[in-house]
Amino acid sequence: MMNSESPSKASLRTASLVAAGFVLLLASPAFAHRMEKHFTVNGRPVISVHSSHGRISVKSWKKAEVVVVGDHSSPKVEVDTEQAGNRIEVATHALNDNLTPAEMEANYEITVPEESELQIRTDSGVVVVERVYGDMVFDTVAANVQLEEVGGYLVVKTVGGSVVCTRCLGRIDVNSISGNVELLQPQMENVHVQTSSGNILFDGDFLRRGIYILKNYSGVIEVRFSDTDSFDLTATSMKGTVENQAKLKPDPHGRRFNAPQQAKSLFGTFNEGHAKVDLSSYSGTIRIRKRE
Amino acid sequence: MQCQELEQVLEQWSPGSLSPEASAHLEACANCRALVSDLEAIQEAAGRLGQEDLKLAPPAHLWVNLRAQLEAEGLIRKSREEKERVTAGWFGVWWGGISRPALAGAYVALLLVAAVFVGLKSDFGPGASQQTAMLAAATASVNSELKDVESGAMKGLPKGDPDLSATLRHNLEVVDNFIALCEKSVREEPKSELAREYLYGAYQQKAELLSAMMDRGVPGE
Repeated sequence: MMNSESPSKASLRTASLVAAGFVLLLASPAFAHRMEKHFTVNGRPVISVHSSHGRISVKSWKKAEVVVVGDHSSPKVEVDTEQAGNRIEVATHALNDNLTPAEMEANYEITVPEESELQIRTDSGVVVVERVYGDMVFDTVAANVQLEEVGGYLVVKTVGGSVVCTRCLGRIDVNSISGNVELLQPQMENVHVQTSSGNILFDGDFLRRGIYILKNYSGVIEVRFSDTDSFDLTATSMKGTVENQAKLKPDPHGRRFNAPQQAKSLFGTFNEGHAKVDLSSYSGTIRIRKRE
Repeated sequence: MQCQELEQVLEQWSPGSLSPEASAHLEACANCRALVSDLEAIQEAAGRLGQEDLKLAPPAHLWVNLRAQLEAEGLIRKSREEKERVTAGWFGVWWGGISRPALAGAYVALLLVAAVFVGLKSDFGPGASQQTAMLAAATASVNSELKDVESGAMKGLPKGDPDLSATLRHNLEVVDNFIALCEKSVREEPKSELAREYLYGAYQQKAELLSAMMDRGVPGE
């Protein structure tokens, strides 16, 4: 038996559904302008993203294809994408001058082949990259950079954003003014981190033949080692302190260390000295801690 | 083989020419490996200099710095008029010629290398008092130059983005604070290479930051 409903009730129900839909639409402005583009690529593509504010998330898959999904709430910006051979460029493009940061905000979900090269520049927000194994360059002002299981030559330049690199491979070069830098369980043979007032944490293995240079002006530099690590260590804090839990031996290669006057410094070898670890701070604290 | 012996070997070194003893030492010594790695990098970079690169004229600032160094050591002199023109104008001209602000940091860093590091690390020539005076003059000069650039960069900060401007300003204060501290250390310990190294690094950080500010700034302001 069919339900019978008066025309006025049906109109009311339709009006309610339309109103509810409208409310939902207003409640989710982030999806007001959404785009999705697919690009077929070969080998190792280069993906360049240029944005101002928002979240940029990059993940990998096995396909030879780059997919860019972008959304933004303001009609005053648009997302430009362009492919030139194996290079994909993505940019948030302002249609008017003098837009507010909220109007400039755009979020990206980008899926790339595993061995893609990334060049990402943004001002604020967050950049998240997972399981991509190509060279990468990040340039941010306040945006935080979170890298997980990535590899290659990683270059991060940030004014005040933090950098967290978890289970990263290859080589990293970080330069920051006030951002904190954390390298967690890295498998990296060349690490160079410099920050002015940020803290630096290195919690992982020092690889044989690896070179690890960590430097700041203030803040804490902390490295955590295990009994099986093997490194030559130099730690100098010009005006601060050095706290050490590693039982160091005199350098077996006859090298001498001219300790700077009035600086707190340490110099020696742990196990065979297969890696080189150089820690320096102007007025900060250096901690060499045994991993629990 | 000890590190010092290896350094002697490296004076005659070419890739692939290391003896088994030297190779064995390298296997065990991270510092010497780093040294060899640096030498290889220099050799590789030199090898990449093609004919086109060789045709390039050296940048103007190299001559300016070389000349400043020669004058500081009393080897050449210049007229007051020329001195005033160069002091007041060369950095402005240099900056004015940069079409891409992103390159600013690199240019400033080069200037700093020439003006501070190379100039002050030489152990020959000027005596201690002269070296202290050179150091004071160099830091004053670098500060003055950076101040000029800073002034332009501050004017160009995006007015529609107060948070971004505040972040950049805050970080500029951080770097300026370190520069002041490091300059004090250098004044107190003029012979300390470590103090000079930190000061140089702080200048370089400021140059990088100013470059980022100009890069994000509003063109034409």
